[in-house]
Amino acid sequence: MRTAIVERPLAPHDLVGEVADPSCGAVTLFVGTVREVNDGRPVTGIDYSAYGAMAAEELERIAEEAVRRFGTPRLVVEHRIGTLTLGEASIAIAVAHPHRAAALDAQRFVIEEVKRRVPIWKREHYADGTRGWVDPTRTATGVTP
Amino acid sequence: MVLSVLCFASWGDALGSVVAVDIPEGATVAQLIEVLGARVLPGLQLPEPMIAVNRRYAIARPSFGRVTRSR
Repeated sequence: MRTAIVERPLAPHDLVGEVADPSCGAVTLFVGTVREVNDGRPVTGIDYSAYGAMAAEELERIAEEAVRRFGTPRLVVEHRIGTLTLGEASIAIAVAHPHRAAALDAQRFVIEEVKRRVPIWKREHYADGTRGWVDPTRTATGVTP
Repeated sequence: MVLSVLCFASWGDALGSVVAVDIPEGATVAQLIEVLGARVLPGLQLPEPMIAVNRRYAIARPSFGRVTRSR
C-alpha cells in the first residue's frame, strides 16, 4: 500500500505495474482528470491546494481503511497538487485483488472518501479569465475529480 | 488562549492563511466558527467550514458539505 500527495505529473500506468501481482485476477485503475466544463462554465485549468500534512495523513488513513475493509494491500493512491491544465490527471488510484468485485469496490471507496475527507481544494480557472473555488458538493453525479 | 488557525480556500481568501484567535479555554468548535464568522465581511457568503484540531476533524463524520453562511 502506498499513498502520496505530489507536485509532479502523475504516471497512472506505472501504478498498475506497482500493484499487479500473479495472485490478483483483477487490477483496476481510476484516473481523475481536469475536464473542460464544470457547471456549464468552460474551464481552462484548476489550482489544487492542500493542507499538506493533514492531507497526507488522511489519505493514508483512507488507504488503510480500504485495505482492512476489502482485504487487499495492493493499493496505491497518488493525488497531485498545483496548477493543472485540461486533461491532466489530478488523482490516480490503482487496486489489485484476486477478485474483481472487491477491487472495484475498494477503488470506489477510496475515491469517495478522498472527496469527502482529504483537505484538498480546487480553484477553477474559467475561459472568461475569472477563477472560483469549487463547492465539493455541487456535482452532476456526486463526484468531481 | 490564542489559537493559530490555518484557513484555506474561500476562508483563506476572506481571512488570510493564518489567523490568530483569542478564545476562552474550553471553547467549542461552534464557538470558534462564530468568532471566525464575525471577522468575515458582511454579505460575503462562505461555506460552513470544516474544522480540524491538530490535524484531526472535530466532528465524527466529516464531509465537505454545503451549509451556506451569510451575514
